[in-house]
Amino acid sequence: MLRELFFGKLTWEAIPYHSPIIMGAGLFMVAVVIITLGLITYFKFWTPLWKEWITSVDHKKIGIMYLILSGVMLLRGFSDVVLMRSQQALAAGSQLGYLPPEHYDQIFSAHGVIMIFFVVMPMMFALLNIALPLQIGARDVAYPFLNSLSFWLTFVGAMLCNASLVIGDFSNAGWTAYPPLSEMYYSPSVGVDYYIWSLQIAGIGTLLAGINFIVTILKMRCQGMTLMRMPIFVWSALCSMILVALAFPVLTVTLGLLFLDRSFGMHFFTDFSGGNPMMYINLIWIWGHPEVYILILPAFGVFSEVVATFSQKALFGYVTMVFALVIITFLSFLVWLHHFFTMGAGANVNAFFGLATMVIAIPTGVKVFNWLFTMYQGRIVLATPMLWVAAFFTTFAIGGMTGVMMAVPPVDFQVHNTLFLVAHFHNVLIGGALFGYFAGVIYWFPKAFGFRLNETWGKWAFACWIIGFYLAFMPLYVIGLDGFMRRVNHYANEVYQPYLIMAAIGALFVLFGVLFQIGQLIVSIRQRHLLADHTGDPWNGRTLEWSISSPAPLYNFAHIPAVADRDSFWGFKESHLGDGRIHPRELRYVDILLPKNTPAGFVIAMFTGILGFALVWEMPIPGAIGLIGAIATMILKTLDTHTEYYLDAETVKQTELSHLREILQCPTT
Amino acid sequence: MSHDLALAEHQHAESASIDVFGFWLYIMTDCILFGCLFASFLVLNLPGAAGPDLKSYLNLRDVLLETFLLLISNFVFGLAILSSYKNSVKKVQGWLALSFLLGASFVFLELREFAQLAQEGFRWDLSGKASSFFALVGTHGFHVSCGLFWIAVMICQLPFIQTDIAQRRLTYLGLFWNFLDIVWIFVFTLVYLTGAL
Amino acid sequence: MQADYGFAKKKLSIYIFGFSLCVLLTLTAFGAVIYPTFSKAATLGIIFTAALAQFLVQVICFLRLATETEQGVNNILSFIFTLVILITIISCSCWIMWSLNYHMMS
Repeated sequence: MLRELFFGKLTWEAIPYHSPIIMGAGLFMVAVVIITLGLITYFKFWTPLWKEWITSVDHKKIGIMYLILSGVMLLRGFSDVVLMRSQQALAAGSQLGYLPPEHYDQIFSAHGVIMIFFVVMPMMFALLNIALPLQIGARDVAYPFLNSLSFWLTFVGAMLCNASLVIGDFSNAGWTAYPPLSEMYYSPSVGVDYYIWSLQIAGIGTLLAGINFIVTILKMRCQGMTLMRMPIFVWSALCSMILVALAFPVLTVTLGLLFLDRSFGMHFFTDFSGGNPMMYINLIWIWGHPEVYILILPAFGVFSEVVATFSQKALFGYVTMVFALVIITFLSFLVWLHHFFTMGAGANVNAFFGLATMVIAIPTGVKVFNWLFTMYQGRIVLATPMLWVAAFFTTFAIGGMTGVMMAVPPVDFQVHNTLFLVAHFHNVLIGGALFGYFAGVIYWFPKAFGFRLNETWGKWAFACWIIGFYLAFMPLYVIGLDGFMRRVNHYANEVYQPYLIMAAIGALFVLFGVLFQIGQLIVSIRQRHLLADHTGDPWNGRTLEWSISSPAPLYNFAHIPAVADRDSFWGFKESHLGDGRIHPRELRYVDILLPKNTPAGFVIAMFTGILGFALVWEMPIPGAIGLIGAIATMILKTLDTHTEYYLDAETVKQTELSHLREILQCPTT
Repeated sequence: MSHDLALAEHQHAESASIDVFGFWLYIMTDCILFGCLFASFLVLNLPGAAGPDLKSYLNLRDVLLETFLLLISNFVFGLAILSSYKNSVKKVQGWLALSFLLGASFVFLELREFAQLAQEGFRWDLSGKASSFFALVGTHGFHVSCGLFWIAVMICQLPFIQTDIAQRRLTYLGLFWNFLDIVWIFVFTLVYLTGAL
Repeated sequence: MQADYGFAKKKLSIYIFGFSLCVLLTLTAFGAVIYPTFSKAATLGIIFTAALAQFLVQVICFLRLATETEQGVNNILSFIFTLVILITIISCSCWIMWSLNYHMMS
């Protein structure tokens, strides 16, 4: 009885002894964790880790932590890719490969969940955190504590997903977990529960971050920066965060109802007693479609910034770009049925949503043309970020075209759930979102860390990724058109094998791309003094974040800037060139009000994680501890009145002067 | 210290505006959350759905009483906010306590109703209709319960926090409490009154 | 310095006025159902109208949503956008699910 209260359904049998591959992966993961903890201890880093990172409410540090989470989870999501591609390359005809269906199903489910929730979304929030407040001339986001909480909740969600690798199993119902498969009857193990709770927890983090950034953008812009003078990246972030605020509650409800079905025997999505599985599909895609626009819009914003900077020309058609973003935001709520054209709705319904889907391609096309027009007659610099942009143009165009093809319901009936669909969405997600965020990471890396990334290694990584991507996905379009379905671990007709072998080779190239990226990071850290950014403006940028030192000082701006136009920093440089004078007004420094670090975000998230794990394994006492702990911490936090402190003017002055000295010591070009 | 007092005051007032806007946006997301629950309720209650109707189990007079309890609780909370403009902590605590009692009576009646329904056979695992009813009304009741917990904490905290922070927090709670009453309008209309016809 | 919360200041007179209207509208709606005097369609019309009216009364008199301040405009715009999306989600869901039921469940 007591054992049940503490451990619920959890037994030693939860550890997957009988599956060597999973055990191997799990042990590797545990080893990595132990080594990391060991290294932190060896370098005596625990105190600074706690004081300056875990309890930090500084958007710049939180952004870096999001980036680290994203990078680590990319490795896990990519190892799923290696497993899947090798299995499909081998398992033709009489060969069964090495992954049985139950395992293969968990792999593609985990792959989808990890890549979307724990790689691309954190990478996006990393860039938003690192760059956005700097671009609008703010000292921090609107709610620094909530920012910290959002990160740690996302982290806890990712850790729950990782825990499923060693304790229990993960969902094998795909990344969208359709019922009835995801109902208790067909998925009695804890896999779907892990899925539900890691997504619910991460989802709350994301929702809070969405609200945070909307308020930041609308209320904390510097003087003179009207909405139509903001960098386009900020506009894209605003639109994306509005989508987050409106779409994520739908996910919360949908997963909540699935939980009620599984744990309380309710009948929302059962196929008997008045339940309706299609309602789940309807609801999950009401969330799911805006979600993919959430992922892509900030990438579009990055492209706008990178194209303008590396063409040394103002972005073409600013107003049209804004309108395009707003129209896409609104329309993204009107297209969700295209994810289930084939599920039996009438022709009227399919036609309406098919038309809306085709219409949404138009503003996207407008944006692509505006980027091209920006490049036209610009003085283009082919640094690595620009390479990613160039790759994006072709790759995303192909992905977009196949999307518009599938927007036509009769066509979709032929290719729905085939590898054609899989190729399409990877095309737009990788070619659009991921390439965009890679470009953004390289572009803003100096601002976050103070040194650029090594260009040569970056170009090799790019080359491998591009070749790998096309090798991996173009064959999938072909055999998908031929009818090869998705999510299969084995196929009888060996005629498909050469295509899948080519796809596997493509995955191998991408693997090399990832290894080059890791190498790029290591080499850049070692060469950081050579690659150091002394001026704060390594790319001859146009927007405010390049007007301060790299890495940015704690307070961002010693004096909050006042702007009079778009690309105000560029204008400032053009008009001040040759001036060489320091204006006396700029030498008056004031004390700056900053938020204090607090452990509350981390602590609340940890208690929530305990609650999540307890919900998965039905452990009443740990669950109660988690719930009460989280609530108690929240209440204690409200009693804390000393949440801010003043950074004295002298420190600000010394920081600013040392930055000015660094610029003056730079050789002039 | 060379920090600007006027600037600090301006920042403070700005921060109040920023904070309340954020909370308002959270309320917007909660609207969407309830919207989805309403959508599920409507879909699972389309004519012809399996399982018994709510009609035969309904007691509209109880629902009317619950409605008034919540409405008066909402009104009383407004009185609490009006008292807070006059900076009298005791009065605010008094109105909050009354609001709490009314809200708690609402929750008590609702739980009693759920228990009665379950006893008569209208259980949440009976049918899609029943599940959607319990989920929608139950989620609203859960929100009300969280609000009650928050009111209780607020009553205890009020003597110990600064006036402007207290007003800010009362504003959040007021928005939340009001929002719940607004959702209840749609709950009793779409679930109970429509169900009784 | 009074902060701009984006809501008009609460006044006792408006509160009492709003409260009385809400009581009236609630009694109307419940009365129309408990004492059925009209056809089903007419009764549905009454209760939905009463609900919408009470919604507006509560938003204007209790929440005090107003366009007077800049923040108030922000609040109203975000509210309207949320409502538009909400109505889209609910109505399209009903349409889709009805269509699915009609085509697949006969």
